[in-house]
Formats: sequence, structure tokens, C-alpha cells
Amino acid sequence: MRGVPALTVDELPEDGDLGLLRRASDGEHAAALALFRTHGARIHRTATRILGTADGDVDDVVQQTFLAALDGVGSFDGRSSVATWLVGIATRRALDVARGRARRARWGALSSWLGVPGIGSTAAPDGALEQRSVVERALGELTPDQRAVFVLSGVEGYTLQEIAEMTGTGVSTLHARLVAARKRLDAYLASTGEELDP
Amino acid sequence: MTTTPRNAEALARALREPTASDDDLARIEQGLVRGLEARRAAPSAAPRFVLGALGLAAIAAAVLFVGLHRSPPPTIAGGPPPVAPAPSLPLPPPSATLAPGDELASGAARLGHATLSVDEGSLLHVDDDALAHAVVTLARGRVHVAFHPVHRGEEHLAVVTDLARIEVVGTEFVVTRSEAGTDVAVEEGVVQVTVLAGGEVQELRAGDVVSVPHALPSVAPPSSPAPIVHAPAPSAIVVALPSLDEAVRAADAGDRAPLERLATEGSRSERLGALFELESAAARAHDRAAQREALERTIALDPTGEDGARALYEHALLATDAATTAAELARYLDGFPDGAFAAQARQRLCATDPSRCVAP
Repeated sequence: MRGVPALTVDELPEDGDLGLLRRASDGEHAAALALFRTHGARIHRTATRILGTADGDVDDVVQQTFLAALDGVGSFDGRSSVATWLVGIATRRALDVARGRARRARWGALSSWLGVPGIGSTAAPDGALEQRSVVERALGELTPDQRAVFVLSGVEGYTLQEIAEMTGTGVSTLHARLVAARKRLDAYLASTGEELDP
Repeated sequence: MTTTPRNAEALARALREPTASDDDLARIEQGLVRGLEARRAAPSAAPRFVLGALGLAAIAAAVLFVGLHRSPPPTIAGGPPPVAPAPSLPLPPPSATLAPGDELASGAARLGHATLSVDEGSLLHVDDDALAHAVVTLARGRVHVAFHPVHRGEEHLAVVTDLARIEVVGTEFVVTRSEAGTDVAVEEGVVQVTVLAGGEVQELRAGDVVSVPHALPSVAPPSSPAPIVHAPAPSAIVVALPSLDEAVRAADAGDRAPLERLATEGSRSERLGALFELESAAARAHDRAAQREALERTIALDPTGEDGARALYEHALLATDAATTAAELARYLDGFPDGAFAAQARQRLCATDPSRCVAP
């Protein structure tokens, strides 16, 4: 259901994504939606993998990514592609959400330890934990920061230097997180006896 | 069932599958259209991250030219010496906002999310082409840079001298341009220094100091990069900003300094995470004062969000007298009448002060 018509090939600006970004920032909705239709699926994948599961927060992260891109077009310096820049924005927003979730999950643990009722809950809602796929359970073994570098490196194919520029984190720190992520995943998948297609 | 030896690799391949159905994308697109219409209805509510576009309005006045008094350049004998760190200056409040083409010769001014403070006798120029990536040139003297973007990685700042280019994404550091050369001292975060003659690039962390002298050899020996001298930076911070995991591990081992640092200097979500860990540690140690302090800092950082709401509720539970408990529970309910703890807060408030009981 798409109320705004897509741009035709003749309407695409010669300078591609950057032209669309500028026109979208100036208020042209068709350009904004053309940008979304080109990159939305990839941004959705990045956000889903960093958050660990596809849920309502992913929708918000994806929407906020494109809106933030329009507002922040002045900060795009052209050193990366527009796609990479968008992935960076999505990564930071997804990490904010993921860290918030991790904190709230720990509220319940703290209240249990303190013996104080009513401060959060440690129970997974509706047995959802068991219904997650092996992929989601595996990703759940990682911290948000580990998930982000694993996804950006192993799934999206970015170098650590590129990820450093996206996230403002040092390369050596990213390398340490990536090594830790791979170790945890290998250990978890070995312990579950799950086999993934080679 | 046997496992394959490359499961992390296999997992990465599996994760490359698309996650969004056509319905998902259509739903998100509808939400995006609503967002675009709201943006059109209320333009320019969001901050512009980087000054620069000549069309930007309202760049404040006060180009700060003053009588210039050149500081005597440091004398350097022998090889690159440790740089004497600048006297620790309390940063003056920024008195102006800079625009492309402006110059700063003393005092402090803002450039986007950066605060630049120069010593008397310095000269800092904001490049004309600072449209998408703020660049300032330090012609002489010393500049202290405090750059804390809202989202790391989305904003960039570079300080350039005739010898080096210093790139940052979020940090505090000092650049000194003298007759002897260019010195960079990092107080916090990570900066990348590029030696313009030769193109050598070095990454510096908090506590690192590097000197790029004028009299560089015509062919730099490949095995002798510009030396990195570990010297106490003016604020005596000697470790780079840790991740939350790293800070928690350090705290578990008895060192809370990384957690405290993250709680003060990290991004917003990092600070919230670190404050929660400090609160948890205080609770386990039965240190109510430290617990209250962590909660108060969380409330200040997130006064209207979920983290702040929870902290406000828990802070009420830590009160030592009934009147304070009642007042704080009432404050929570005023701010978050439908909050996650609203029902419990009403029960406790009624139990603490029956005059405040309200019918459900």
C-alpha cells in the first residue's frame, strides 16, 4: 500500500543516493521514499540483528534512521556511501534501544536480589524465550556491543575501520569485542548441539 | 547431532537473509510518511549537527580579535621531548558561536557540539568549506577541544596545522602549534593524527602525547614513526573510555573508576547503563547513600524517560521517613501516572499516608 508514487528512472538524480538525500532533506517526500525503498530492507536487517529479534522497536529504529538522515544531511561528508552512513545511524539507534532493554532486564534481577517486589520482572513474557529461533537465541548470548560489531562485520561486511567511524569506537576495542562475540557464539552453538547449514 | 566447527561463520551467513517482509516494509513506510508530514509541519525542530551551510541563520557575533601577544615558543633540544602539559585551565564558558570563515584568538566558542578554547596569543580559523565536516586550522598557539556529539560517528571535527591533521569523533584533547612543531595531547577518547608530510597516521588514546617537529627528515625511516610519549595529560586521565562490559568487569575486580568514568563521559545510553551498574553495586554493598546518588544522577539524566521513572520510584523506596517516602511517591505518580510502577506506587502511598489514598 504505497500512497506516494515511486520515482521513475528518468526522475532519479544523476548523483544517485546523495541527490535523493538532498532532495528528501529539502522536503521532497518522493525522494525520501525512494531512498527508503532502496535501503529500507538492509536497514531493517541491521536493526533486527543488533536488537536480536524482529519486533516493534525495529520499526521505530528504521523510521528514525531515515528521519534522522534527513535532519542530519549536513553532517554527511561523502567519505562513505549513503548506504553505509545510514547503516551507521541505524546501528547507533539500535544500540541505544538494545542497551535500554538490557538495563530493564537487569532491574528485575536486582529487585529479586533485594527482595523488593514490583520492580520489573525476570520472567520472559509468555514463554517467548523458547519460541525464538536458534539464530535469535544465539544472538541473545551476546551483549549489544558485541552483537553490533558481529553484525556489521560478519553480516554487513564492513571493516573494523569503517565500523570505528560509524560508532566512534576504537579499532582495537572493536577487535576485542568481535573476538569475544565469536567465542561466545561458538561455545553456545556447540553446547546446544545445533547445526547450521555449512 | 554434531556441530560444525565454524558455527560463528555459519551464523553470520544465516543472518544475511532478509528480515523484512513486503508487509513489514509497507507498514514502516506508512510510519515514515507520517513522520515526513510531521517534519514538514514543524521544520527545524531537530538540531543541525554541523555548522557550516552558508544558509544557516543566526550565527552569533563576537569574532574574538584581540591584541595578539605571541607566547615565546618552547625551546626543544635534542630529540622529541615529552611535551610539558598545558597548565590545567578551567574551560571558560563559550562566549560565541563560530561560523565558516570566523577566527578565534582568545577565549572559548562553540562550533556545533564542540567547545574550542584557545590560549591568549593563539589564532584558530574555521575553514570556509566546513559544510559537512567541521574543520578548524590552528595557525599558532594552543587550542583545547571538547567535542561531545549527541551520536558518536554522526559528527566529525578536524583540527589542522601545517604539519598534522587531527580527526575526532568525540573526545577532549589539546593541540599546540609552535615554531618547533605541532603537539597533540589526548585527554579523553580517541583521536587520529595524520602527519601531513608523508601521510603517516597514528591513533592516540587518553594519556598519549605526540610531537610532530618541523625539521622532519626528507625520507622518514619506516621504522621510526613520530614517537608517542606517555605523559600525564592535564586532567590526569590515563585510560581510554571503556565499554560497559569492560567497566563492569573492572568493577567486579574492585576497580570502579572505569564505571564512574563511563557514567560521566559516555554517550547517554552508556551513562545510563553505567549508573545502573553503580546503583546495583551499591545495593549489593548495602550502601544506601551511594545507591541514592546513582538514582539521583539517573533521574537527572533521564527526567521523563523509563530509566528516570524507575529511578524515581526506587529513590522513594529508599527514603528514611514516611513523609519523604510519601512525597517522592506522589512526585513519581505526578510524572508517570501510567508508569510501570504506578499501581505499586499508589498502594505504597496509600499505606504510607492514608490521606492520599485515591479510588482506583
